[in-house]
Amino acid sequence: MNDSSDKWEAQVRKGSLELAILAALWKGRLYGLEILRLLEGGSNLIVAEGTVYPLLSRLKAEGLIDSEWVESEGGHPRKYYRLTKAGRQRAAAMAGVWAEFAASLGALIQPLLSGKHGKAL
Amino acid sequence: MTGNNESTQLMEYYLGRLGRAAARFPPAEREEIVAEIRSHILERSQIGGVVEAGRVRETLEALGTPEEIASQYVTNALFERAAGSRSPWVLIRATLHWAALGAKGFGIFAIAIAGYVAAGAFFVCAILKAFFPENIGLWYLPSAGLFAMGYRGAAEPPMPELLGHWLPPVAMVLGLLTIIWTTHILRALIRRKRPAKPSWQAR
Repeated sequence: MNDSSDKWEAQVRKGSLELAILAALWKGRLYGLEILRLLEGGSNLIVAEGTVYPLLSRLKAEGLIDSEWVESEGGHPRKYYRLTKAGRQRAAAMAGVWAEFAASLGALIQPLLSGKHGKAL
Repeated sequence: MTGNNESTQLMEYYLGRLGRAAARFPPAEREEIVAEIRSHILERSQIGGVVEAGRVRETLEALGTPEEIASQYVTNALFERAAGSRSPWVLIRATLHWAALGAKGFGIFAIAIAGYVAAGAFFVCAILKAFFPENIGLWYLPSAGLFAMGYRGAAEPPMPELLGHWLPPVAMVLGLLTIIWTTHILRALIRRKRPAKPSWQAR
């Protein structure tokens, strides 16, 4: 990978992180580390784990998610997040755009991926 | 849950740096930022209820530096505020922070400064006209085909002044228009950086 494709990859990750977080919260409330583990499990979306907390704070400022502190059995409180009504609407709309986009791009890039059978340039 | 001295020291040192880097937030907000990261470190570093120094080190490394984290909080807060503000001061602060992030931000900071300085210059001309009526004016420079507002010394060749007593009100209006335009452009640029909600909600 050269510099410009690294930069492109970083931008794709950054652009999809917001949707990934909203999607992670779709089924119910989670705290920061649980969200991180979900994101790390399904994909390698996260570069520095610290980035997820400022992003959660921004989504909260935009009214897409809510938060509450809950005492845990471990002895330290956890900050849980959940989708607001506006957040659910936004997440669903974003998922629709993403799916449409991914489907049409997927069809376009199909020939690039079956490289073995394609013509060598 | 227990932890030894070394793990506690590592964590407190990191959180202290985070608190200082987030110094511009009000205390309650700053404490909440620190509390959330503290909760993350404790949760991620413990095995069977024990916080272990090696795990703390690994956790802190994965987090990134406290200054990076604080900078992202600051960016969010500044842009959030600037997108809904008409105050030149708030907009300049947001673009100054943007300038520190890259070349594009620096260009936009330059637009902000140039715009507000030009507006200020119009106001200064409007005021100084009362004190230097012969030297402040809207001048036509035939050689360059340009109009210029500003100060001309007595030693320079005489040139027709076009506005006379009309200069103060005209300069005031131009100054106001320049402020409005600069503010408008900056807000549009800031909104574009931080995508507005309606673009998603419209669908």
